[in-house]
Amino acid sequence: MRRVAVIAIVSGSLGMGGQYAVDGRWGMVLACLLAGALWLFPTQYGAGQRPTISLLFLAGAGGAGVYLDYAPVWLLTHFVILLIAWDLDHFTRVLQQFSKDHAREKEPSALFHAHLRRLGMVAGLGWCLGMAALYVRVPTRFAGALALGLLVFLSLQGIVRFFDQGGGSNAE
Amino acid sequence: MNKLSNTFILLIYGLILVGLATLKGPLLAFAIPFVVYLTVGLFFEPEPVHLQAKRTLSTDRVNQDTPVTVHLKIKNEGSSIENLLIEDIVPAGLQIIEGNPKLMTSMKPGETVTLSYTLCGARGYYHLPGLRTTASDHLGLIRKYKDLALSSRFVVLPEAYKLPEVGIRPRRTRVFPGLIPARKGGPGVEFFGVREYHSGDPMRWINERASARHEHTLFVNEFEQERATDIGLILDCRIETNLFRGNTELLEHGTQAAATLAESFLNYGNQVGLLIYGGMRNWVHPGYGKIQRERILRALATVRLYDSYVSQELVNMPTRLFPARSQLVLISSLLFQDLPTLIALRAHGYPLLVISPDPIHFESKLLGSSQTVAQAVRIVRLERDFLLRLLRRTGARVFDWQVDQPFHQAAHYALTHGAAWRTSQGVVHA
Repeated sequence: MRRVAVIAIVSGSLGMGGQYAVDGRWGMVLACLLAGALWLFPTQYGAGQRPTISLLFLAGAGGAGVYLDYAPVWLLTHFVILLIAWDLDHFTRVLQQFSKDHAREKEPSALFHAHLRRLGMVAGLGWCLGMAALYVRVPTRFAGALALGLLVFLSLQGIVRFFDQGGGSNAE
Repeated sequence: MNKLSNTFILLIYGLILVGLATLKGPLLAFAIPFVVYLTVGLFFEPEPVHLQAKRTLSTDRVNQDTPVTVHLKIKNEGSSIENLLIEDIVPAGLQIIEGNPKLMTSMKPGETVTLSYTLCGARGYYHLPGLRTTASDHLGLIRKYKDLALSSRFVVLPEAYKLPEVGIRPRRTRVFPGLIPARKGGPGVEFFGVREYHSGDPMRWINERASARHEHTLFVNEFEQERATDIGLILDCRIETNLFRGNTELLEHGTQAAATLAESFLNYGNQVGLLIYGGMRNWVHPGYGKIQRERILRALATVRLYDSYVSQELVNMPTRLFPARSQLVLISSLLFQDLPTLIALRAHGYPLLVISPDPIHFESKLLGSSQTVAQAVRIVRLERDFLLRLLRRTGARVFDWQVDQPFHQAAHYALTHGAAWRTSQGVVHA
């Protein structure tokens, strides 16, 4: 299970670094690889703040690629891989903390596979919608764009607030 | 761990804001997978959790360092749960030595999961309050928390070792047979004296040598009767006598000594009571047998240090709780101001055995070995020796116990009848 998370992290950092390697920016390649290594270290040896730093750095590197005219398809793909890596890293760390159900020895593996299926669906959908956003052009006026932007912000705020309150607690 | 971390939110807002500000559409597109990730969470929000749980403990009373196995059976009486985290709340003071009180699983309606783990802890009463459950979707974005009240209790008793004998000789004994020499002639084991033959005395008691010296008179041997007696155990729980540098405590040693002595005295058929002196009045009325042993051990399981102005000195000790002239056993490292109270106890006719864990030896090991420490130790050692000498002069028997050696081992040598005989004044060194 952890191996899959490690593969995702390595792929994410190598992919981001690879974009810069093609352009001959070796400093950035090294920085991306270091960020990946930094991320991997707490994945192997327990929790820490390093995944946060690495994720933000690699996402920043991907965002900067837009200004360097790198292929947005690959950048989007690497962003999706980063999302997968971040999720799997978190999930495997959570899973490691808890025991197996003794009656069902394969429980963690079953949970992991169910998680992978859901994540695969999300990643696929996200990539497809991202690709659509990259290539489908809808002509709109400034006011329309502003309204859409506002809608996005308000929706996001609603979702975040919902997740923050999500669950709640009740005693029995 | 909060799945929806600030980093994640920052990343989405960052991509959108920078994309809008710099008019770079791809940045907005890059935010889409992250937004989809969040949105999917909305569609798979878990239903309210309905669980039924049953906890069984391997035992509800154990001795110190004996493991307790906890089995949990949880049944899902609601709808299907994609991810369920079950956490049995383990109180502080207990250690998990095997298994894990947390379980992450998925549950279909009507499905049952089991969870087992093994605990071990220091003496005390423990209460397992219940389960904390967290249900979420597979991505773990929305969580529903629920606390299930599921109360279980168990007690960890202090270890009571067996002592072969404790050499006490109180002046007053009860009429019941026991193992305490009663200072009275009659049937017994140890030779007590010679008296004139009375009708009904067994022929094997006749002392032929003494009888041969007197014509027409027969003499018989008398033996010392062995009876049960009343014993009051007093455990000193004052913070002044027990707490030392670095929050180290002598109390654990004292508790173990009290448990071992109670076990030993009760095994000999004596009537034993316990007074835990320190804060609130904690008193086990004198009694016999296994039930009394259980009462005393349970009382000792709850013992802790007390910091009370009222009980800073032994002068407020309620000695009337003990039968008059009963044997008192005080377990205390002693303070100088305790001496008048102990002298008063002796004056009131209570035979007194003082088990005194040596606080100087205990604390000096924590202080290291510098010249200053050595000098300080020497001074307080003189003071303590003086205190113990004064106490012995009152007729009290004092056992100066260095707690490096377990009590049952140290007492095996120092508190037997042989030791009592060796030390006519009751002066015993461990």
